[in-house]
Amino acid sequence: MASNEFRPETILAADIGTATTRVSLFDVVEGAFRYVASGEAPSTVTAPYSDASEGLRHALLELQAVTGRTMLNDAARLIVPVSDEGHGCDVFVASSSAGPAVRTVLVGLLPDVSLKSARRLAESSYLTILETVSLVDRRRPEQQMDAILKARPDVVIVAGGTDGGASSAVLSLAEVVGLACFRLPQEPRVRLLFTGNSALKDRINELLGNLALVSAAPNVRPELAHEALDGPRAELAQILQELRASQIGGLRDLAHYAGGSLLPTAQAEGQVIRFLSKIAGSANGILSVNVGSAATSIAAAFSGELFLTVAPDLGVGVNAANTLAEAPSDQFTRWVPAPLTAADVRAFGLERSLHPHTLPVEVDDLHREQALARQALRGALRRAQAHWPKTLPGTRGDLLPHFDLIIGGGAALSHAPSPGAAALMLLDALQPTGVADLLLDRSHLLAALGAAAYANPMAAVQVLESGALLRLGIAISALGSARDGEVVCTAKLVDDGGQETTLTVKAGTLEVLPLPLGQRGQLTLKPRSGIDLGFGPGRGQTFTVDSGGAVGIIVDARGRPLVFPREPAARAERVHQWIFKLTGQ
Amino acid sequence: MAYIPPTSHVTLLATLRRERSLPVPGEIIVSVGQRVEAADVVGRAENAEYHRLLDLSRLLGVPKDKVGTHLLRQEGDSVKKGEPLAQRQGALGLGRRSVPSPVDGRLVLFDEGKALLAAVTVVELRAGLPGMVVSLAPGRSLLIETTGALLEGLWGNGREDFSVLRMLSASPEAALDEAELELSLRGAIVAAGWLADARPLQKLTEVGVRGLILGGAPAGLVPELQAVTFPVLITDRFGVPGFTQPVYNLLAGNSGREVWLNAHPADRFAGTRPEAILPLPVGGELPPPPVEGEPLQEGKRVRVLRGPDAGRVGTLIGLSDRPVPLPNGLRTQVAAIALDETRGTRPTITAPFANLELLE
Repeated sequence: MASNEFRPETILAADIGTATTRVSLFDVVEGAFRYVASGEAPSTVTAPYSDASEGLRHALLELQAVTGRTMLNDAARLIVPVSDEGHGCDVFVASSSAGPAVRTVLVGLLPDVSLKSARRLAESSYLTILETVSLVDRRRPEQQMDAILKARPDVVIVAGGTDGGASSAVLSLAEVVGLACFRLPQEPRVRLLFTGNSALKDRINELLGNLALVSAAPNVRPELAHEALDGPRAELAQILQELRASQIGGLRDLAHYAGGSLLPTAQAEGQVIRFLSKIAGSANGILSVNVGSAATSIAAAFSGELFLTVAPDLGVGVNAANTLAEAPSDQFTRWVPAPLTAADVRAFGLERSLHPHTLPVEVDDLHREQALARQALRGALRRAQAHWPKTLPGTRGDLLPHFDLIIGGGAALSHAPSPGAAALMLLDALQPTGVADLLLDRSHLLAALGAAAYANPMAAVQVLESGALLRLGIAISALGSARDGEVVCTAKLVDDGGQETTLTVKAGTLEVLPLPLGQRGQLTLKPRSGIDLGFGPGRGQTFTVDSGGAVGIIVDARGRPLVFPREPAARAERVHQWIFKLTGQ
Repeated sequence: MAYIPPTSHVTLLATLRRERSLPVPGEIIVSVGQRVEAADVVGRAENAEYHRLLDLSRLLGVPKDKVGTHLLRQEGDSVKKGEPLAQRQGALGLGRRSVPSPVDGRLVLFDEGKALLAAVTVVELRAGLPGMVVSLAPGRSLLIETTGALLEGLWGNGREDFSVLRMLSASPEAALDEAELELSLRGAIVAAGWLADARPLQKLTEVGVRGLILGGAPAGLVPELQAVTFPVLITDRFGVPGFTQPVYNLLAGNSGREVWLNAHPADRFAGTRPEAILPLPVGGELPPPPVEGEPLQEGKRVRVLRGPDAGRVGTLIGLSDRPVPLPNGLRTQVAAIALDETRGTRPTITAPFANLELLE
């Protein structure tokens, strides 16, 4: 290695959300990267600022206050690289999920082939699909064109044709797109991503280059049976970055500081999840969920393959009303112990959307807020699962397949008043099966680490290994039929000191074996006949738990899908019991 | 560190500028410095309702590259439905073929033997509010400056109108009473603290009001409020009756004056909110524009947006410098507020910073 090679030792990561701007500092301590501290401030991407810089400056000032390390110089510019006095950072990386809905039109040959891949590509980012056009579309070309015009797209994604495959059909559709682009306002011009038959790139550019801002990506469907999302996703991230920079002040400067790259937050998180899945080497998956004010993202990786889904219309703030409108109101009210009418639910959703930055003050309102997070997660999960392979370990109907690790993030989870409350939200919303470690991303590090991984892949590994994410504990979920109150399994924990705790877990309940963070224990699980704890029906197991967690070992015997008593008072009491069991309140 | 909350304007007098934009590029027909009234047409544009694509080559029976010689209209020409677009004379003048326009509109493109026609309607942009044109973006938009009172609301049904304001509520909480809706309110923009149910909406339509300003309404009425043909503005909260006192004072104090009710929904990124502007003349120097983006600090007027004291208004008397626990266990910074009107024995309350908006 050349002696003068630049080896960054301090990485500053910024994430600009719709509601909150966060900065996180990573530094080398004893030869390895460690998470140092974070700062956060309300985002300033909306009016009256419409400029991300102000929120970033406030977040940096908070970071300065926490660390005592000066990040901005007298001209309020970021100090890069680290000064002789130890101020600033060596590398700055950035991600963002902020911005208005990205109106998107998908164009592809066949709904089950190229259009399906284009949809998966779009749904892995902050795009709102408003219209699709394909070969099987029975509308006349001018009607297809009018449909595109009505959608007023910011982005058009054109897919179709395997490499070396169909070309004339793709060009016919491109002509329709061209007519629409001709009639769309020329300022700002629509952005078009071509991700079809690679042989047509030049022809598409000739046809549409004067009418739209055309980008070409590798074919999203190079072969009929092969989908390749990575290349198109990287190009789409670039398009999104350009679009956001044109919509929100300060983002262009931010990207410039970050070496020209401003990753979509979900993509940055997905990067880490994919990596963790690769090094885990397990057949089970790794899952990360993030509930934001405007969007909810789900990143699942199986054997190193990433499945990233963003629900840009589901969130706990700006999109609260959408989240609640997606399902009948009783789906929401079942999580809340206090009685609520459908009118109460509608008013709550509207008020949350209109005042997305506000916080619950009373316990009942907190329950509503957390129920909203559950609904956003469940809605996003439904969409995500549609893209997952059907042959994963533990797959049964609509239930979640087995995940070794589940990471929760987003303000509703990370700012929960207790680790138990965060764990309960994850369990309720995701309803995991088998045995899963639960982690909480309290400081929104996943996106920061994903962005940092581009500058220094080892940084992400070392920070994660240092325990920067809060370990909530282990969730063991019981599957199988049992009547309410029947014993489902016993769990015995022997800690390193030899202390033994035994639990009898009944159907309809969840129980916790306390095992603090960093403490090891020997856990023995014995299910009743027909009950599956992740080892097969009726099979028990004894294994070592390397570390407990802020909550401990949770045995969830509430059924999958969760079963609620029908009678309202009984339901309320049951939900109260679950909350009390995990939060003590 | 300064905390900057959102600001809602309940401003008695300010200099206000509002952009008026055409939905599609067209023509702005006023000039900078010109005085405009609310009903004045200030711009026009052609809006394409739909398009028709004609294969003239096939319809005329001539090769693509020869179609141009048969065209009777050029790109950009307007066309009437039934008028010939292209015509081919047969041999010896026999067998003439003509292709009529299927739409009233415009020939927008001719290429490769095909013609793209747009069926257009003319949309007119009205000033909306009286004032002076202070700048233009030719073909797209203009900026109108006026002076007056500004009331920023919470929710709007996407419509707008300009007329005389009539406050119907004798107190901030009073509900709209169907029995009070007389024909004398025809053409007025009416205000009331609360709409309990949808029944008065039919009567308001029959009477012919041109707008409705409400302090609150049940969230379940949103579909009905969206369906009415006049603009509706909710100023304070869903599900809770009444105007907050400053809002009521502004509206009641200006009852009988003209108001521009712009009930277009809030767009956080564009920086627009549903609002009511009451143009007021000023003599001499223009008043300052509304204050934006001020930090929380003692002495500021605030409205509580969430929690047990939601909707209450007061003055900040203290700010915590570190997070404190809330009744539900969350920890956050809070402010102490001296309420305008005390209820029981609580002249002051605390509320999280995040649950406050400045009233300016």
